[in-house]
Amino acid sequence: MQTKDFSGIRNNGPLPSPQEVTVPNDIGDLLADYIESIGSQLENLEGTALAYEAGNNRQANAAKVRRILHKIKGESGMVGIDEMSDFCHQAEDAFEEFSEDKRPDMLLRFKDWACAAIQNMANQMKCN
Amino acid sequence: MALNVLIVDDSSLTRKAIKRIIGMINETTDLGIGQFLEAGNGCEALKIVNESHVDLILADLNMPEMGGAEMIHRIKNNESTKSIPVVVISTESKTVRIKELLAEGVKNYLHKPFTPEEFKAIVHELWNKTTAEAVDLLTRALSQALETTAYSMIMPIDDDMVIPEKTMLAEIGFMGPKSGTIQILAGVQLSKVLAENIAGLSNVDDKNACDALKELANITCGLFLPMVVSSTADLFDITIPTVKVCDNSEQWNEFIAVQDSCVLNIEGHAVAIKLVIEN
Repeated sequence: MQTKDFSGIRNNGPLPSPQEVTVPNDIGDLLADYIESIGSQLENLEGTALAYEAGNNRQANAAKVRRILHKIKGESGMVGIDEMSDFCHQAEDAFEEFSEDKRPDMLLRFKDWACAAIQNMANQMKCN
Repeated sequence: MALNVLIVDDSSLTRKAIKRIIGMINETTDLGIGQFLEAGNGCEALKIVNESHVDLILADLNMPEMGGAEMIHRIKNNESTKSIPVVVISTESKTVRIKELLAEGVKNYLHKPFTPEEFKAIVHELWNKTTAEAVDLLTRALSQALETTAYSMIMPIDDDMVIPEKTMLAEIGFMGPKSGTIQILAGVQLSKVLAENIAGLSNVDDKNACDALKELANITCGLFLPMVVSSTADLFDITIPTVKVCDNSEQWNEFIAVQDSCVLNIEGHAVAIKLVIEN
């Protein structure tokens, strides 16, 4: 399988299509749990990114962002959705590289892409 | 004979994924895994460890309330839980932190996501300690048994210790996650001294010496097995010890020539111990 390039999240470049995320065939009933868990964490990420942007408790919110990205990366890796895990890794790096004012937009872009990928997985699951 | 595994991770999805991977391996290769226990953080894990029978802990590091490092520190500093093997499963990549955890007593480290093969290798490593490690543990168990039961002092190995000619060979078997035999070879003279100490007899005969050596083998085995698998309750069957008397002085030399044997000096008398693992 060809590795997808997610470096666009770090340099504001293009990202692969969220419709093309590879889901392992043997994931079974873990997929429904995965979609639910990641969906809830992305909602949490959006709220935290907006609070960060508003300047409320910046340090605490930055720590929360790191925890959420770390958790999404870990869970994606554990169920074998490696592309999402790679994407999180790039987003984690971007968060450390970016200045405070650029971080919220990057996080919201990450969230939109990941939500689209999750939605696509949910649709595929319904079809199957 | 099943081994209970405690999975500590704040993500229920990750816990489920870990159970699934282990379950898949256990179906094809019998790892002896029994019940899965789950905790969402270190606090919950400590409660489970204190209340339930746990043979292996798989722990994440970054968790709310109490993280993995704090939990491991508490487990390893508690007499009743310190022997439970802990394997860290995390995305943590800082080698300094991993080294610190290994120094704290963590058995191994698995990077998330791990493959079934990686997990299989770790479980095999845990249950099948190297023979050298096992012999070392056995020697410790014998030393402890001698010191606490027979009130005999272990001395450094020296050239003056008496190498026995007429010997008694005690043998005791154990069956469970590991199966094998423990053999203790001692001189009749020393066995009589042990009989005097263990049974409090003044005029001991060969039968008393045999009984004392059997008792010593039994106690050594009882001390050794928990060192190999953290908790032995219901995990092992132990055979009744037997003793053979041998007048052939060659027996000692043959016994200690084997790589997996170890010699101790008990108050000037040489004693040898050997571990034979069958699986």
